[in-house]
Amino acid sequence: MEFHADLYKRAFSKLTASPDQMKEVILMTEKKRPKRFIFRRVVVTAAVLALTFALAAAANAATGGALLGRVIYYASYMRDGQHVGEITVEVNDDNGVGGANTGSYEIVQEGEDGKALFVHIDENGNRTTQSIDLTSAPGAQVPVFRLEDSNGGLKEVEMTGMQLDEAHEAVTLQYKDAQGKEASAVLVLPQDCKGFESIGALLAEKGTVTGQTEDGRRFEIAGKE
Amino acid sequence: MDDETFACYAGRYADTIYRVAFNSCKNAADAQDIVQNVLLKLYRCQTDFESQEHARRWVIRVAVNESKKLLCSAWFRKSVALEDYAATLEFQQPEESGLFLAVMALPKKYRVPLYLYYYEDYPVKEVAALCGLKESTVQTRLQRARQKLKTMLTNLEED
Repeated sequence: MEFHADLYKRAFSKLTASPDQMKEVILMTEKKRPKRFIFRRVVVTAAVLALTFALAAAANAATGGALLGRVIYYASYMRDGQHVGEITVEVNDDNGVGGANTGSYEIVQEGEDGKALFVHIDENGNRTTQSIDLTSAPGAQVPVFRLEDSNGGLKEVEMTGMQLDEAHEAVTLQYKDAQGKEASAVLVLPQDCKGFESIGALLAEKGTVTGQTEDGRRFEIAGKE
Repeated sequence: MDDETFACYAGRYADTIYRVAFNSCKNAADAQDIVQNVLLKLYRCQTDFESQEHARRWVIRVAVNESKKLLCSAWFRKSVALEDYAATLEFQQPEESGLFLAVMALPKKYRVPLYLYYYEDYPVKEVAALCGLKESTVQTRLQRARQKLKTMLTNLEED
């Protein structure tokens, strides 16, 4: 068998990009408003519970104070001052309540069956409630983000906000850079990490996610160690 | 870049990007990732391409660079064995699969110049520019690649 250009072309014409992936790329680049998930770290105490926002100010600023859709709270669940565990609470936020940095929130445990009410009380005393099921809430996966630094290593960054895009294939991360300034990066999820409804669900399945940002830096997303 | 223009370019050059990427990293999963990365860069590209050829050179150059980046990182991964992947490619004749595997057995530094020269029909000067190499280096690599392929294909026939 001899090597010649025609044979080479015939052989390598069989290498083709995946049509499914092409569809995904087209979808990713369609101009749609991304779904916004804002992660808040809150402290939850047993019985009558008061929630405070740890990241509300920066995240609220990032969203212009108008969140729509779903809001996820990562809560440290405490009883009698003792840390019991981590829970994830996901609530509807159609009125943008989750974006507000005013009022107070409570989770009220109604009985032994784990049913509870998520209650928001605004500054005028108006209450809105939503039923949540604490027993089935997945264990909280508080994401840790690491980005490639100038030395080529991975360094944890302080996340101030995060949005998963509509196609569930990339994450826009807002964070503070080494100088403490607000910065952002688009984390392109690897093929086997696409399609998850949330970062929490992704981390629960994969544990750790690695890949490259749009501008070529390595990244890592992991659950809190 | 508007969506329609991007879709047109994506359809036209995705296979080219994939082939450059596959010749570099030798596995389908990483090559797919590189295709995605290059197409996203194309979408966000501010360059007004002067011609189809300008666009083609641009995507090939970016594909070569993205492939180098991937190989420098610890994140390229093992996937399906090459022989198993080759079995999915539906070659018409045994010579095609034999040549494909022989080329993939060459060192990486030969595979991309070989692809650009024999498949994309670029002259040596253009191959050198796209790969960031001297023309003399490309000439040498093409020559050595042909010699190695000749040896491998001859041994294959004798077996």
